[in-house]
Amino acid sequence: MLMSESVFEWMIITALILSCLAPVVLLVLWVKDLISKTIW
Amino acid sequence: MTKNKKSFNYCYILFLFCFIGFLPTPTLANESAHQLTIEGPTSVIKEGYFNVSVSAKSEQQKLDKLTIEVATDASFTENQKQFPALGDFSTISLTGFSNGSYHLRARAETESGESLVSNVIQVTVKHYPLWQALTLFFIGLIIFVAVVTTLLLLHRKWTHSRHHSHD
Amino acid sequence: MTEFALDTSTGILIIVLFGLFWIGFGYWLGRKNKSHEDFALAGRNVGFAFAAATAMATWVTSNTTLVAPQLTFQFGVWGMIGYSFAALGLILFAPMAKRIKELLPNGYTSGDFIRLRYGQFAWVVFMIISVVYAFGWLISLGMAGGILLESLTGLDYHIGMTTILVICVGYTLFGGMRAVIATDFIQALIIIAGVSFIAYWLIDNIGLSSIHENLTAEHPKLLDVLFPAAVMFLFNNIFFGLGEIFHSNVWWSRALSFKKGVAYKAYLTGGLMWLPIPIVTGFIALAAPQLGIFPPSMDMIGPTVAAAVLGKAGAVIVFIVIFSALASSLDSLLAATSDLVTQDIYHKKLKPKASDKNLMRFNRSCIFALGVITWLFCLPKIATLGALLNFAGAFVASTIWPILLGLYHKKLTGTYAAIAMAAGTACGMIGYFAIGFYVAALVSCAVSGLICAVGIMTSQYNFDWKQLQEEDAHANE
Repeated sequence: MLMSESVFEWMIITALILSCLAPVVLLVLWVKDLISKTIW
Repeated sequence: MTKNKKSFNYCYILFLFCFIGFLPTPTLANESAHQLTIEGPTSVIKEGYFNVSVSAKSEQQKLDKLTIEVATDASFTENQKQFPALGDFSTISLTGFSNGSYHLRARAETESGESLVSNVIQVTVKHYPLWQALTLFFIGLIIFVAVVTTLLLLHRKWTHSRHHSHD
Repeated sequence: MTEFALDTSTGILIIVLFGLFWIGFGYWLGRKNKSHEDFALAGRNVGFAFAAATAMATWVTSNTTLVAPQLTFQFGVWGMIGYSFAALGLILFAPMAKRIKELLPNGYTSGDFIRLRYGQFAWVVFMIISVVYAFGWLISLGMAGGILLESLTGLDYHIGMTTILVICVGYTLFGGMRAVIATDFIQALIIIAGVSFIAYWLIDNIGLSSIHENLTAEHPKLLDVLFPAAVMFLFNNIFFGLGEIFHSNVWWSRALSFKKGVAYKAYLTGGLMWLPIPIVTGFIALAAPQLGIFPPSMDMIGPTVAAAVLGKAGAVIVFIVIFSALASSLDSLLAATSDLVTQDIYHKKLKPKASDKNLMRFNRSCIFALGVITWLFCLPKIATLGALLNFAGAFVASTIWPILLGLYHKKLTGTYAAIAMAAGTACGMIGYFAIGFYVAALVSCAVSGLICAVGIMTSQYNFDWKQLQEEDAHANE
């Protein structure tokens, strides 16, 4: 049973979008921690 | 009598030289057919991927455009595929093969453009039977679900008891 | 000889620059460490941002960047999807991390917990499993570093391997857990940015439909959703991952370092951020057939494709990404294993009255010693050591049930836990040699679970959770 083209494309693009969001999330959280002085 | 014997001996020697002189030709033709040697897996492939390595007869020989030809029949007419080697490497990883029997041979060129061909090897690909794969899969799934369910239930029990103890 | 993707001098330059920066950074962070608790657990106060980043970055090892593409090249789409399932280890650890923080407010290590919860016998079995796994991982990471440098730049294996170990030991020794966590944050950003860029470039220049078409025509097996071997290996690999995270002090020490209320969401977020990474790195391998790239060795498929499409820039990105992945795991392992030895063996067994300063000094020496031992084992470059890590699966998967039940259930006794871990490991190893690597973790977890189930059903015992705290308070006097 071969993975269809649309599922294949959807899977890769979703993964890429999620992985691009990750640094944004991390940096936002870091700035938040920096402002509230809760880095460590 | 002696004179005849001597000329008779010379004839034999001449004949021998002529014979030896002709001998190399058929041997040379065989050698160029196997200037390359291809080696592959010796056992049945269960996962669809394997490595092959190619060597030239003389070690100094540089191989250009090394390509592996694959086909499902010995005369390389059906389902032909070609896979180029990377850079100067003489080992190639091949992957994605479905069940079946494949014939492989290597082709390359020398620096002077002479074409070299290797011997032919046979590789059999027979994936693990699906029933075996699915059996292990479902056994694993059951144990996994048990782990997750246990974790979530026990954790919930704990957090609820914490809330109650705080009331 | 083939041309290397990077000149040896460029490779050395990057490594030296990184090394100087990381060691300097570690030294600067280390000045803040006033107590052993600061050094080993970053003052138990790490905030959400760093916590989530370190959970994610530590789980991105050189395997995630090199083996995920290799598995995708071998098993197709299941190679990368199956690998992503390892995120479950982090995600399922999230509730456990919260519980650990509650139960052991003054605890230091996973060994602490096993000793207090289960007693001596189980602790010995657990320590053996921990040490086998930790060294297996340390050595494979050390070797991977040397091999990476050699294949990308031609730099001699021994020089490369030594350099990476020196850098990691250096900044971990100076800065402790703070250095490990702060560098993890930066390394996480580097890794994600690097792999995303390469994947994006491939999609933009070659196109997903083109790759899919080529695979369908030339290598349809790689798109097979029912690829037998992959389907068969899936849960074994998941249990390997669960066992790794549930037992290893790398993750326990983090849970204990995080601020109260952060552990659960940090592990959950870290796990979700990690999930797409193997798919992004694995995808790179699927472009190889289209590009006519068939490498001599499958473990180099990722870097080879990157270098082939992006040239020198691609090689530099790959180099930096893999170095970051290696460093982020190596530093965590060094710190966590050293904590285990310092706390469990030195403090609790040999010198219960050791002062804080003594503990800090011992911990530092331990990090150094671990580095040296790892270096010695990496010298011979035994390639089969990678396969050695494979049967660590039998070891670690046997701890899943004992740890899970130990944290939440009062009834399981130490004896049963110890037997479960020992028998699970033994049966897993038998399975490994008799059937194949793909049943080792599965068998280990199953046997261990059965023994734990029997233990609970026949038990009259009720563990008092307060025992975990009382002894800690006593030990901290």
